[in-house]
Amino acid sequence: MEKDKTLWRVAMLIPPLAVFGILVVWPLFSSFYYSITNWNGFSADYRYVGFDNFLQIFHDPLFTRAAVNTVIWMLAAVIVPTGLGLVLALLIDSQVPGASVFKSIFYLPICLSAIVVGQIWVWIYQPDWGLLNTAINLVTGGNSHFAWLAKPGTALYAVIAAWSWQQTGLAMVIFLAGLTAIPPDLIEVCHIEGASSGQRIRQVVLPLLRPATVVVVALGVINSLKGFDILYIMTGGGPFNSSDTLAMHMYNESFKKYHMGYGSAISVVLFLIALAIIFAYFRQLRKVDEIYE
Amino acid sequence: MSTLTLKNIRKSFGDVHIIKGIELDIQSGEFVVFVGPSGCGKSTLLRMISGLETTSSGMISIRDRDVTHVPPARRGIAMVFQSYALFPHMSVADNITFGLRLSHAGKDEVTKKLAEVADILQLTPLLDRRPKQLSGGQRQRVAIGRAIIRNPDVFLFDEPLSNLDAALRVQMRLEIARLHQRLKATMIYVTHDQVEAMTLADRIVVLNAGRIEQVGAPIDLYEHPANRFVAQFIGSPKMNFLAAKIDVVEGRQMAVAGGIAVQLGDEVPAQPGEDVTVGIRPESLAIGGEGRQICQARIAVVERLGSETIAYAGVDGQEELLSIKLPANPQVRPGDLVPVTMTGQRVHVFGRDGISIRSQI
Repeated sequence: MEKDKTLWRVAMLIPPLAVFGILVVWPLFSSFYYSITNWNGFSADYRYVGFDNFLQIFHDPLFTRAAVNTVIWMLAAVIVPTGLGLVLALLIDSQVPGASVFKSIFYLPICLSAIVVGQIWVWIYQPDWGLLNTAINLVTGGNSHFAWLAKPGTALYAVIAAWSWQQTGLAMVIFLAGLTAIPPDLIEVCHIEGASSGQRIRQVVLPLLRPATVVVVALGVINSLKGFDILYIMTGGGPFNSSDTLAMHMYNESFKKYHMGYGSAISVVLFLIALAIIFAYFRQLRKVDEIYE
Repeated sequence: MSTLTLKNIRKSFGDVHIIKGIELDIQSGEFVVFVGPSGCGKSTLLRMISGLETTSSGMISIRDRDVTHVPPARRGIAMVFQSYALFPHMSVADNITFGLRLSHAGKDEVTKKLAEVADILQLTPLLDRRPKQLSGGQRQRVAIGRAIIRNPDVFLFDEPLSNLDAALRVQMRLEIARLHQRLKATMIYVTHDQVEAMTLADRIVVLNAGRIEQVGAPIDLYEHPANRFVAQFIGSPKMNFLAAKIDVVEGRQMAVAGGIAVQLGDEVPAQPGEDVTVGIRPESLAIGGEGRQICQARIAVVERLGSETIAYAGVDGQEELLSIKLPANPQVRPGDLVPVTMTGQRVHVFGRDGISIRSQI
């Protein structure tokens, strides 16, 4: 009887494990494998090159550029949505009129795919009739046709703004859940002890939101590392690689230049960075568990 | 001197009236317990005093100052919550001194007061710990510490022992009683546990459905309940109630209830034939012995508690079982037919409206 149950459980686990193995584990190990070859992505004729691809990374100025951009992208793409999400969550939690409507509106972008969001913002940034220039011209009375996505100085930040617009809703919802989890008694203690709104937020609410903050930041970092599609649709890494990130660079090397071996090496580096971040995330989670019940 | 005065306090949520006109004066240094069943409004009333709940109408004054619309922090109160309400990210010391630090008190003052409070509550070795590292009793002491350090005019306790196990509850009850003796502070304590109310209170306020049923010293409420509600709420096990009719038997006024006849004094102002309820406390009944026999009863359940035994017995004509408090280990078993006697103590008679006609020895 017990043996039948075990067999049944194993049988039920096989399909999801098979899908996970084929779509995640196998490509992962394949990347490791190809990263030590000079495969071009098509030819059956490739050979073992050891760590040459990894050594090449140190001599690739585009990799350095992409790495710097990734850091900027990651910091901004985490800090901006986290900060805005927190402010929105605090405002909505303070029962402003129409809070539930605002909540739905701010959350809506997260329901859209990055491609759709990217295209919307491409239109917003369109130099001649885009919403942004139209609004600026209306306010200033000028006649700007600034190409936000075509200038190396603004392209990356323009994509970050679009990304933040989409991700803020997610951060807001997680912070709202965190705020709901704060026992009302603790807020009442603040009222009785005479804490001002600022003192209450700084000394009580923000520390109690630490579990939610850890989740928001970790999701933000992981999502930003994966951030490829919105960059692809809005700038394709350009102009002049000014918005190239590691994910973008890996794609360009693998599928545009047919350096699959080198692209795989970049993907391995990206994987190791993600792994380090996930370890840091779990360490933080453990610390949070040590404090909170 | 009166510390707290409630004048015709009312609280409504829309058409739902929670507190229906409370009048109460609490003297300086008094320990007053609000007691009543769940939903009677006792916690709401406490929260209205604290300022955490607004007051629909009426006036709350603390030390002759109208605080009805004053924010909680400026009322001169401190509150201890059922859930302890400790900040999990702060140490015990930071939790206790939270209010002082908010008010930018000097470091020396904070350190001195913290040391005093920690000493009173025996928290000195625990000051660096986080709440998660404390037991339930220790957490409640920290919450009390946070209240004490502010030196308030009125301490408010909202069912502070409800989250503790039975043994710890008894210990903390003692500690709170000793704390009151030491601080001589005005304390208002909400509980649904009548044992806590009886043991801690100088005065008990019995609340029911948003109204005060009776206010008085614990022993007064026990011996002279104003109505059936108070009679059944105060005392454990609860008072036995017998539906009865007044009759005159051989020239003596009796309350006759099925198989039970209880002799009443002539001064009980009831007319023959009148429907009344007779209330007899379980400790006024016995099985056999020298008291006046009032009926025969069949034992249904025997609860042996060690120091005493509670027997529940069925009587012909009465729906509810009689509870009888007996000595430690009586020779009774379920199914026994036994003579129930009155041990010559108090009998309570309630009219049809539930109001006490009078208590009679």
